[in-house]
Order: sequence, then C-alpha cells, then structure tokens
Amino acid sequence: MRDYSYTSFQAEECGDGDFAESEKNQREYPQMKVRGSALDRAVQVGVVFFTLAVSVPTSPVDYSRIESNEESITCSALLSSPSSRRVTLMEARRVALRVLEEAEARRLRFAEKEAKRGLQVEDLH
Amino acid sequence: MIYEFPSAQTPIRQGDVFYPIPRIEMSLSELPVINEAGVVEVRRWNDISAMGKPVVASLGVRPTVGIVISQNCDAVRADDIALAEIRDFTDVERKSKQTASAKAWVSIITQHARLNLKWFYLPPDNRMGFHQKMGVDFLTILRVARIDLENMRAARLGRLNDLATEHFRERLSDFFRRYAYDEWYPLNGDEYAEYKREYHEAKPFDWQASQSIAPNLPPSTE
Repeated sequence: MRDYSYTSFQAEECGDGDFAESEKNQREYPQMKVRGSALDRAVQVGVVFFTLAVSVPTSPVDYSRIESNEESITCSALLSSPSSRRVTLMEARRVALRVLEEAEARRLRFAEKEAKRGLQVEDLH
Repeated sequence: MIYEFPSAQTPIRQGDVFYPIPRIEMSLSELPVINEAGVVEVRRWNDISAMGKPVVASLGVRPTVGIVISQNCDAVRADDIALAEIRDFTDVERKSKQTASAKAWVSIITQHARLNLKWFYLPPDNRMGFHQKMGVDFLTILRVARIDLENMRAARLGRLNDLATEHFRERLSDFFRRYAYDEWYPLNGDEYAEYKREYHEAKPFDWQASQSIAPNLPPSTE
C-alpha cells in the first residue's frame, strides 16, 4: 500500500508582502509527500531549467528577419534591454521560488474570498 | 470507497489519479532567463516574446496530485493530457475549513456540491494515499505530455470507479459549460440593495436604479 501524507508547502526563504503572507499561511498549503523517503520539502520545491516555446501569432514581429539573425538577436537583445537585470543562479533560484510562493498565496486569498460569498454551510442546515 | 486500482498496463483514462504531477509557476513580469552566453537575467515576458524565439528559463516546480480530465479518446492518442489539481478539500473549498460535524459535511458534500461547480469531492482512502477529504480544483489545470504520463503509469494512485467517473465527467462538463452573467439583473430595487450589501462590485441595471420598493404582488386566488 502506498504511504503518502499531505504536508504544508514550505519555501526555503521568505520576504515581504505576498511572500510574507504565504509564509504565514504556509501550514495551509497541502502537498503530497512520500513519507519516509528522501523527498523532503527542500527537494520537493524544485527549480528546473525549462525551455519555453514561444508562439506569438498576433505579435507584429517579423519572424523571417528574426530567423535570419537568430544568433545575434537571441544573445544581444537579452543583454541590451533596460528592463532586464543580471542575476546570479542563486538569485534566479530565489526568484523562481518566490514566484511559486506568491502563486500559492494568491490562490489561497482567492479561495478565502470565494468562501465568503454566497451560501454558507450553516445556511443549508 | 469510490476508487479502483488498475494495473500499470491499463491505458490512461479520464478519472485516473497521478502523483507526482509537476505544477510549474512563472511570473510574466519577472522571468529568470539564461541566455546563450550563460548569463542569467530577470526579464519581462513581453520583452522576451517580442523576439519570437524559444528561451531557457528558471522556473519553480512542485509536485502535486492530478486527475486526468482529458476525454478517454484523447488520453490514448493526443500529444498532451490535461489534469486538474487535487488538494486537501478544506484548501479547495474554504467554506469547509471549520467543518467538524457529520451533518455539516453532509451539507457540503451533497448540497454545496450542487451549488459550487468549481470542485469535485474525493473521499479519503488510504490505498489512494488520501488520508483526508480531498477536492479536485477545476480552476487549476495542468498539462503533461501523454508519453511521459504513460511512462509513469506505475505512479497512478488509482482511478474513479464507474459511478464516480460518470459523475466526474458531468461535473467537469458543467464547470466548463458555465457562462458569466450578472446574476442580479432580475432583482428588484430592494433585492438589489440587499445583494449589493454582500457584492459591492455589482452595478445596477437601468431598471434597478429607478426601483426602491418591492412591488406588491396581487394576493393568490388559489
């Protein structure tokens, strides 16, 4: 028989704002965990390198031009944009984990808000 | 309870429950991208997508439980299989977080289930690894390549039995069949005022703004 238990979602590091709220509520995030295995929480919240296939059919970008300049655009455009900031791998990992945490916090807030609307359990008794 | 435990060779079908399914989260305003020079930059998706090229990014992933929502024919042929996330029921339906009595649970599992189409109730079953009440959250859809899911059939916790599968299929359809409308549109002035007390965002329709007194209905002739 499989032996699972649900444990709280827990990130390694916490900050301010939404992230802090998610830390406060972290015991309420369920997560399936293999009891007694090497999969502890730190391992369960992984960060992966993920290839994103870009498909932007409504974009005004000239794809033929991009194809012909593949090498230069992929590299130089990334380095020249004012909206980007260089980070270390460790910081990238922290950003990814924070995004994960914030998503959980948002979902929980939405669920709480939804629960306050409409008929309550006691209304149907 | 309401589950079956097919062999690992049994094809995937709607209602199959898997663990661990990866749940990936990304922020379109803050995406750590690794460029060809090996430099990591945090960028906005709008800027990246304007280049129209695939990129490599660092994203958070966590394992979760998922139930197959793809139809059976798609589950054996399509490239991708869609699953809905399963979580602790009190997490999916927060109305139940204080629920303790059997009577209250009956109310939620039967009556509330008919009112709230966003979730599907799954009772505890130790063989499934469900040690408490669980819920399918139709708002959270996950995607896995079919071939990958087939390769992890040994990780299938089980599946809904025929009765539950039939119910699940209908509930899933009901969820996606919903349509958005302003439910307060037929309320009279007084009813609208009462409604607005709870739903502040509701804006009155023309015929409601001019009403303030509930109409006196003629007495029944029966």
